[in-house]
Amino acid sequence: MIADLASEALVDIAPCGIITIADNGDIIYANKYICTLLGYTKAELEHKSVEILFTISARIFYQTHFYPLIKLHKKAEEVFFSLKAKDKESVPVIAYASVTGENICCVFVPVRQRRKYEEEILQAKKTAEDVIEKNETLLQLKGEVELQLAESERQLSLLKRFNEEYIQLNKIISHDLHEPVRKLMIYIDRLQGSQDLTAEMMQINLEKMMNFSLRLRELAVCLQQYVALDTSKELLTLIDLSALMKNVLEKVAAEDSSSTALVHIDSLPEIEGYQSQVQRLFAELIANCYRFRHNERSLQITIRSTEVSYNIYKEIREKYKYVDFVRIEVEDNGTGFLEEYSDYIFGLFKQLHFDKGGAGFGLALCKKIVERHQGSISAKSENDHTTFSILLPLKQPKQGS
Amino acid sequence: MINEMFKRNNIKVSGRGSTPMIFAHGFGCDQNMWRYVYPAFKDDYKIVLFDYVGSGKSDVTAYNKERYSDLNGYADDLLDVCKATNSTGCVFVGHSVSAIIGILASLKEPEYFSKLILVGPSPRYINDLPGYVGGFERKDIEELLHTMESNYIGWANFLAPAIMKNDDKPELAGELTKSFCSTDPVIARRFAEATFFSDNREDLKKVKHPSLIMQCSEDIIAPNEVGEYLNKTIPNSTLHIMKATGHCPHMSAPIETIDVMKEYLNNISLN
Repeated sequence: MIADLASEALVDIAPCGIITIADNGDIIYANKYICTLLGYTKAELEHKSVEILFTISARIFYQTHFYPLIKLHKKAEEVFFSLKAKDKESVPVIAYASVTGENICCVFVPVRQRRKYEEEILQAKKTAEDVIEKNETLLQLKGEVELQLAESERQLSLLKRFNEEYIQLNKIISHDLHEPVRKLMIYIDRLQGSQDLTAEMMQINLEKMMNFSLRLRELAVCLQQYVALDTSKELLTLIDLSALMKNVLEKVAAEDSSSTALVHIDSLPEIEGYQSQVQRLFAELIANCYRFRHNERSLQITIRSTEVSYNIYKEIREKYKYVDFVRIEVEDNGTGFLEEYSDYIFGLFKQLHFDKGGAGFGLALCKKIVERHQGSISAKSENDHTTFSILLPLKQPKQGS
Repeated sequence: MINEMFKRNNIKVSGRGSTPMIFAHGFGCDQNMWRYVYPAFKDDYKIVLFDYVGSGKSDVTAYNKERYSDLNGYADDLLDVCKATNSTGCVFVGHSVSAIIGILASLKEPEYFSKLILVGPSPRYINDLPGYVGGFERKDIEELLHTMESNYIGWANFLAPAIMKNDDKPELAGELTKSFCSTDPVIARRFAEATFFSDNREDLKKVKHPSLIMQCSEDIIAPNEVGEYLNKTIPNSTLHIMKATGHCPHMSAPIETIDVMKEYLNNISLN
């Protein structure tokens, strides 16, 4: 009997749904079974988009999984789908597909009974997972672990910073502080050793000694400020960065009346932080814009702001929590620096331009302030533009007692 | 470190050009989906292909549930690939959710990007009426997760519902990689959740690089309204409505896809 049938007729009466789909996603052919299964006539299916057969979720699944699969492997087997009947009822099927020339041939087998059985297994699995997921003791423990980890992260970064500072401070004590003292001693020796110094020479020597003493005092003051940050009792507050920046720009401009700057500034967000430190941070950066302006260019300062998400965990490996940061870029058209100094300039008492004043202290302080806020700072200088990029979290992590 | 990245993200570099062009696959597939498109750019670009951790032939042992529950984790993968291949100023080509991942990465580290080509992008899949049509309701996505789960049923019950390396059953992992471009049902589900429950509308206006939005006709996943919304919201963007239908023009209409990309790249370099 079957052998007598033309193969086309056989396909039409086969006990499973068969369709062919053109490359543009239109149904070319639909057999009787699929029409009956879903309650359509052939005319209602043929030349329509294949998506008419699917529930909305099945359409996404078709586009993200089924179609790429067929396109890449020329076939698909045993894929579960929900078809949508004309009366909107959903019909669970297993699909098989293969590519014939430009077209896709698709076979659907309803699995209503098997589906019920599978649903039960899935449901049992889900119930088991939910029990674990919603277990109160576990949830509480998870919360506690999260807090502990946040605190460990803070302690670790603190420790790392302290270590780096310790090494720096050690160098400063053994060199930077010794240098003016050593020179003072030389001059004192010189004054003691010679009776026939002219008044003029005496004056020059005294002036030099005065300068070394001043340098020594400056170093001591800076060091005190630098170390004092760690013992600051200042509380976290919500800082309006726009207002703060406006204030800083006005102050710095008032102090340096020799030139005016053309300032472009984005609107800045509110962040949680230590107000006086953040103020100091931007005051140092803006003052640097003025201090290192280029003689032949009128000073332009651009302050940009972008909010981006970063992992708050930097020290604890394999731990992720993406939180919102603001990246503030302070760009000027000043003299800049060579690329190899982009880390050096943040070191304590490191200076590139001895003729421009300053103790080489400002950027080291900036770095420390930013790190105290769980942020980071970097600098680059190219094509007559120097940019300091500061990354600060919008909210400070909760601190343990 | 760099070698590790190559293995972790299954990075493949080819091509004779110097400007990098990075192709990023979407949810549900892997780098193979670009096979009809990237060869057309081999003469003029350095081609970089990769798989996100958890997809294709990536190193699944590097999977981290916290990192990859957030599209920012995928953006970090993309940035790691940029760094490992030394791809500053790349032309980025991202399909579907990778378009948004590319945008996130370009905001984090702009120097790695020069142009963004966004194929079938959507900043949010779930409707937020009356102002925003994403195309789906929350329950549609729940159903999708269910459909995906059903397709993993055969072995999802065999193995613990945690991320596994499948050391003891390598044939299973291999089989599934072949069929669904993902090695693990839990990973696939989490990627689906990170994708379809995301809302990145706020990030669009921050985009700094010129971008091309390639919008398919009759794309259920990223409907026309979404393409228009993107074009209106992203500064310096160009919207191109393609003849190709569906959500995967790079597979269903690679020639049109290549032509549209080349036309955009030519025009933008002339301007």
